[in-house]
Amino acid sequence: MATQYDIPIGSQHISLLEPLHFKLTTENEKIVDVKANVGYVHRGIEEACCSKFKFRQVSFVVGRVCGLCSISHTTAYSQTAEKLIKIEIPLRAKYLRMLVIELDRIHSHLLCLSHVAENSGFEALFMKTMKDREFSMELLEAVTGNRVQFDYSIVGGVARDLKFELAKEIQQRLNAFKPKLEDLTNIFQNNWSLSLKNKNIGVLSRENAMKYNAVGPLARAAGLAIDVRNETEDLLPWKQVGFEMVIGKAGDVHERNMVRLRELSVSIKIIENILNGLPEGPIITESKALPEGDAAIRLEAPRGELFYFARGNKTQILERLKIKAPTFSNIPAFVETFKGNEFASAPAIIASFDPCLSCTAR
Amino acid sequence: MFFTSTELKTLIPSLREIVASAWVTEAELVDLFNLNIENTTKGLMIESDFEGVPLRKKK
Repeated sequence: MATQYDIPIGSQHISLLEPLHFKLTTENEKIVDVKANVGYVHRGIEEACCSKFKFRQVSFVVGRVCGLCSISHTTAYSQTAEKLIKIEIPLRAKYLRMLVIELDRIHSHLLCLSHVAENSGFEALFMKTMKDREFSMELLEAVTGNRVQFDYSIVGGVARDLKFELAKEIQQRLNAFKPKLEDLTNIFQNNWSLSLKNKNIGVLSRENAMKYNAVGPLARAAGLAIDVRNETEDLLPWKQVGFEMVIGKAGDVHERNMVRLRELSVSIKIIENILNGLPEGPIITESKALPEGDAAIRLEAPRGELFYFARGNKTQILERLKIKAPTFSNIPAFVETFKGNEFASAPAIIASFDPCLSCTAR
Repeated sequence: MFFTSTELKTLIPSLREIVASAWVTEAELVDLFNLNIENTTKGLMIESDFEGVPLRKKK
């Protein structure tokens, strides 16, 4: 047996976007074992939500769980609280929530793709992708008021309405982005240098995706048809606005890139359908009810299934709030995916996971 | 969803032979609630020498 070396990556490392620690055990440059530590940014948010904040304020607190997918957190929590106080929100608010969730998915997927390019040694593509992503950040700011940590979904509906002029601008900016997306897809699909770093690298098989309960683009790239938008229609009517699931096959870094790029096209189509069919009406349902009982919600965040559970006891303070983020669910699959790959491929594999440690550690 | 009750010191059997990915959830429960789960030690979510129990309700 060759000598084994333990090589730490993180918690602060140039190829990591977030404070995450992997200890990779290597043998002849091949990764044979992996240990993960994901708790560097544990902030006790669940405890704070059950002790320091009233249940209506919690939607603003959980928006701080993560800067990238804060709309997923605020929407999932708001839906949980709405279940506890037994209210139905207006259809316009549902459509506006879906609009911001899909805009958020565009900026999150483009961020992930840019980092895969960077970690694969393709700096120019990193810069191009980040530049092309900027329109989604500007639109999110215009719609919600914030570039990150948008407090858009609140208990009962949404905080701001969408003006006609802004809807028109969103459509124009999406039209301008479409040729850029085609260009990006062409590069990620066909660039020979990138393929050396991405094709057949970090393969997660369909069997392992199922065995280790992978979620999100990681699972879909492995051929697993799993997307909450395809399963639940009661809270947000995804199929009404043209949702279609994107599934890959190969399960490698390249396939994860392609799944994300194809999901961008689906997101654009959903946003266009929302803008064309946005129902008139109020954006919030007022209620003075207090949360009572248990409620659990699943929502498809950019990285996969986000799960919220809350228990109310008819007071302003929740008794329990549990957040299960997609990156947390994917950790066992991450660990398995590394095994058998060259150590030099680790940065691209990590970026292709699109890990979010703020969500995971909470 | 289902639940069951047990004494805090009881050794809870691990589910990882049935659900391969269960180790990560079990490690979270050990860290945040200080449960006693088979073959699971502290250190995934918080430092292994951290003495507090972040999510245990105070009585």
